[in-house]
Amino acid sequence: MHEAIARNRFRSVVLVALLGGLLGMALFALAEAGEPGAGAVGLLAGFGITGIGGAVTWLAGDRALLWSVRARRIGHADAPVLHNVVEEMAIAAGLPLPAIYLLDDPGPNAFATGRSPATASIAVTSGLLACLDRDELQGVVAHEMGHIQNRDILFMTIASVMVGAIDVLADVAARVARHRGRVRARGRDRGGAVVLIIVAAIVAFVAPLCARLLYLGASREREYLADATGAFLTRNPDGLANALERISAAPVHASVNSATAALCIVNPRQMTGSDSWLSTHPATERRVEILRRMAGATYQAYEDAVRAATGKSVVPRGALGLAPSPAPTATLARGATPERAAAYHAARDGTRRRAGYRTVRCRCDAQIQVPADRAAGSLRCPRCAVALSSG
Amino acid sequence: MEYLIPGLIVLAVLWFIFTYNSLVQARGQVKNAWSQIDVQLKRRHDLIPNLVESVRGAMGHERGTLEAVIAARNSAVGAHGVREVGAAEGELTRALGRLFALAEAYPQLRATENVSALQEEVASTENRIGFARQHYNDRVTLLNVMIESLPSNLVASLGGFRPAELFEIEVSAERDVPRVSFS
Repeated sequence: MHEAIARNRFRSVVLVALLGGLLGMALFALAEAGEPGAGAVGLLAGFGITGIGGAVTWLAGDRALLWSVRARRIGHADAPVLHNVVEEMAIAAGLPLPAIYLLDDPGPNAFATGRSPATASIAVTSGLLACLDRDELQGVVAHEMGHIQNRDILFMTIASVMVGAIDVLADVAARVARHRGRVRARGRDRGGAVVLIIVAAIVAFVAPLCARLLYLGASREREYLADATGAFLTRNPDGLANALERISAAPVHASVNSATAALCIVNPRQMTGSDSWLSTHPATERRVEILRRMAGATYQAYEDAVRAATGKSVVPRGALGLAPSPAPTATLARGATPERAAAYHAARDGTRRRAGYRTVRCRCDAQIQVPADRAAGSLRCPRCAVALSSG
Repeated sequence: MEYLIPGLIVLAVLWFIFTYNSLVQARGQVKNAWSQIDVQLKRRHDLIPNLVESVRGAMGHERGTLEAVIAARNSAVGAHGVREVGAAEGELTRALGRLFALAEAYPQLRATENVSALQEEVASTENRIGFARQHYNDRVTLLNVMIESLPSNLVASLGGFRPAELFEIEVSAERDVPRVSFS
């Protein structure tokens, strides 16, 4: 996945450079208009502010985001199943255990943030824990682990803080332009006022647009790739597909701020509607359709399914060769409702059917699913220990 | 022209260093991945006596299954080396799978909070072992491909790198513990 990692690092740098350039330009024009010849000071101030802002975002952007949604850090005793699932997925990805945060919000959703796997955090809402079973939760956590593994978290955290900062800046620029433009127009220096208004217009309208385009440009591909990683790590595309369906069908949506909304597994502010150039995520039905279409839990299978559904290619070439070993035994949470158990078994049976399992019935009425390559005659019923003929 | 030969030698040395370092890195990742499996296997060994004690009340007459779990656990604790550990842990996975399959038939177990918490822990440990094995095998495959393919195998043989063994326990274990449903 080093292609995806390199791409995210590059985009983060471009985004910070874009902001620095804009701020430098704005302050240059402001200083020059106020005191001819002082432009250089303004330019340096612009770069300085961006540098400091970038450093603060790098060091504390994730904590600022988590703080802004009132997430609280939890341990194993607070939510054992969530904690176990996160630990399982960290092991599957070979990454350190991220910090786990819980949001008291009835709307089901989840996001990841941080600048590197070592400093990453995963946050889920209480609504998510309430409405997903273990396999579905595993799918969601694996999707977030995909964002961590591909360093999407670095770009997404910087971008959401920067997009917010550019919005504030644009707002200030628009006010300054209106105010100063009026003052200057009455005075002698009309040329300065015109320059100021042009620069302010660029900062106010073009900058937010550029920042959004840069952010949106690849955000849907990032989500597809994280879905692919989720399916690969869990070896169970149905878990993630079911989770996406449940999240988008929930009666209430997570009420997070707009900076965080774009990081969520399903954008709570764009729950309905199909793909448009403004959507941060692909349409949920499309994502589910792709996951259900996968013939096996490999990156190659995801790539084939995406290509069939959208004509696009989202998986970097380096990942296509990763062939998975057989899936570990997934389990149903104890105390699950009968309805949940039935859904779990249906999903499990589907996966096994695709893998070519046969069903054998014992005399004691136990139904046993057998892998296709299992040698006949060596099978015993695990309930009554009678030898079974696998016909 | 007189720089051509020295230039090529410098390039070759740089390539050698780079390849050697990636081999060292790959070997380190295999080692790390193995120690992660080890951690999870220990966790499982520690949990099993508690689990067996807490279900003994309800499942007393499934004595054979319970004894098999304990016996498999004890021999897994004493196992050494990739193959031996693989075989012993496979036996333990099979025994636990039988226990879980049977436990489905005792609804009163699900009502006991302690038992359901323990079952979650054991189940999670099973998953972790599976995922750790999956990750270890991925790393081993990566290292072995480097050791065996041209031209990195030249560096590998000079540096004394040997292929690592795949950890295969649950492939056969999974086949012996298919899902059971009583109708």
